[in-house]
Amino acid sequence: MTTVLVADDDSDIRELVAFKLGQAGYDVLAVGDGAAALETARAQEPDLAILDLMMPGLSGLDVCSQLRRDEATAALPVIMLTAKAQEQDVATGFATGADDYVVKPFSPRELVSRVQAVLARTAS
Amino acid sequence: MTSAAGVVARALVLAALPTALPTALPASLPSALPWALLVLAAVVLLLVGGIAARRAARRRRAERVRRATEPLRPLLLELVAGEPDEQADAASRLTALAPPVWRSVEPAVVALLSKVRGDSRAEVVGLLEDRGVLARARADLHRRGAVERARAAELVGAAGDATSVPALVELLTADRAGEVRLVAARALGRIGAAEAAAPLLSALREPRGRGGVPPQVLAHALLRLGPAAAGHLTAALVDDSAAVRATACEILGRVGAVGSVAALRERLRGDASPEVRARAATALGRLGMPSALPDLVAASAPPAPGAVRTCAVRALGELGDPRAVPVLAGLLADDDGRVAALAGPALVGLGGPGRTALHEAADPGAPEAAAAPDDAVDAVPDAAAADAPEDAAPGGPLVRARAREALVMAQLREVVPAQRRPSRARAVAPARLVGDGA
Repeated sequence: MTTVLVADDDSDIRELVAFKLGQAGYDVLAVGDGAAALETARAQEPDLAILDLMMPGLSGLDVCSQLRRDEATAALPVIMLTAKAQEQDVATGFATGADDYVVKPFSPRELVSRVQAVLARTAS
Repeated sequence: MTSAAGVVARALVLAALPTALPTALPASLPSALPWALLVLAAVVLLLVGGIAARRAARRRRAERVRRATEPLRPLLLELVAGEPDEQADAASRLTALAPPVWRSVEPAVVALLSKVRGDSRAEVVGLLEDRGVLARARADLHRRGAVERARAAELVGAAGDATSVPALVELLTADRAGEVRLVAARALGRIGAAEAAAPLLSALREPRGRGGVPPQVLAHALLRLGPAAAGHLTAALVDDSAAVRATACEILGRVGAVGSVAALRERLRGDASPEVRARAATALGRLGMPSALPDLVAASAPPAPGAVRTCAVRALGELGDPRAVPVLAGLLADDDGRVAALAGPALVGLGGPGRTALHEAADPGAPEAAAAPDDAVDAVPDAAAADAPEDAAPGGPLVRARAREALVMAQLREVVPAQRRPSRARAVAPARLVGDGA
């Protein structure tokens, strides 16, 4: 089963994303901070990561750049999920290595479509 | 808990003080002082105890709410993220909840408003409407208490309740509490109704120190209105207030209002405020319309003020028109260090022709260097470059250094993203995705 790592310090968002992805047939690993996200990505080898940009400790950007530096996780597709919607924020997200950028408030249905699209794109 | 214990401990020490004080104090002091200190200590103790009790009660209440809402969480998740039939079922079950149960779950439902959009948010709004929560909020917009008005404004804004726009405009323009006006501005932005643009722009004229809403809150609200407000914003470009004109320029550029290019060019050419001219230049760069090229070229040269020139140079880079190459190449030798430093990155932004010009400037005569495009705009800043010191003159060491720096920075930006993906070996097989995830 395709496994998706979800890292967000907001438990509502975490629960919501996990519920929707679970409903869409994905196996979900949900964590509440950046350090746990990094650890889980290395230990569990998910197929995709959804990272909140602003988390306590390591931010989503920090996690993304550390994933890219590590050979084992460098190819892991990453979707940033964040309330920061300015063009500079989006550009920074992509420059750090994100494959897609979803702005909060978000549509759970659209998020699933994005996950499917990113997985399909990175698989080809 | 630890901090509360610390506060209690400190209060106990304070309470003990008066017993020691009478012996330590001079006899000349009034005899009532120890009693006054004792009363003070008792008041402090009571206050600390009250705060601790209130916190404990709040924690108990939160726990009670959590226990009451926990069984309803799956229902909430189905409401916002379920399939359409699940959403309908969850909505009818939540609508039928007994009032005491609903009261405990209502904050959790309201909290979801700011986290989802589209169909999911529509379901939450529908539920709040059915339960009478939004009707209550609309009524609360006129309550006597500022806290109630602000809370109601926040809720109708989060729900995107267009029927509340007139009441919110009234709060923004006439409410006596600054906090309520601020929340009203934010709510109007979230609702996104174009008719809110004029009152939001008017609020920019009010001085911040007298209860006015902070300009950044108003600008953010205007930005959220999007292209629908472009007409109001374009009209505001000729407002008497420079703050209004500058904000209108900024927002028009950010919302991609290409229909406002002519009006923005006019601001860039002749506005009395350098701030407005600078914002107009930035907006024109963002909009990327080639018709803005002559005005941006003119604004990049003296006698335009430094702030206008720097914004114009950046905008020329964003515009992406290769006819700006000789202008920017000339600006590498500009007297104004900020302008000269920005000319290199702007040339990079112009792609191949810009890079060729940078190679030429970095190493005149090198094979990478080539002629500029035939239809290039006249190099306006040549006069400025002619007066420049020898180091900063075209071909001088300073210009060569600036050109090299721009090229190196551009290469770095290209190399870093390219190196971040050494392999796609772990990519998921398409068959697995289709089978598991669809």
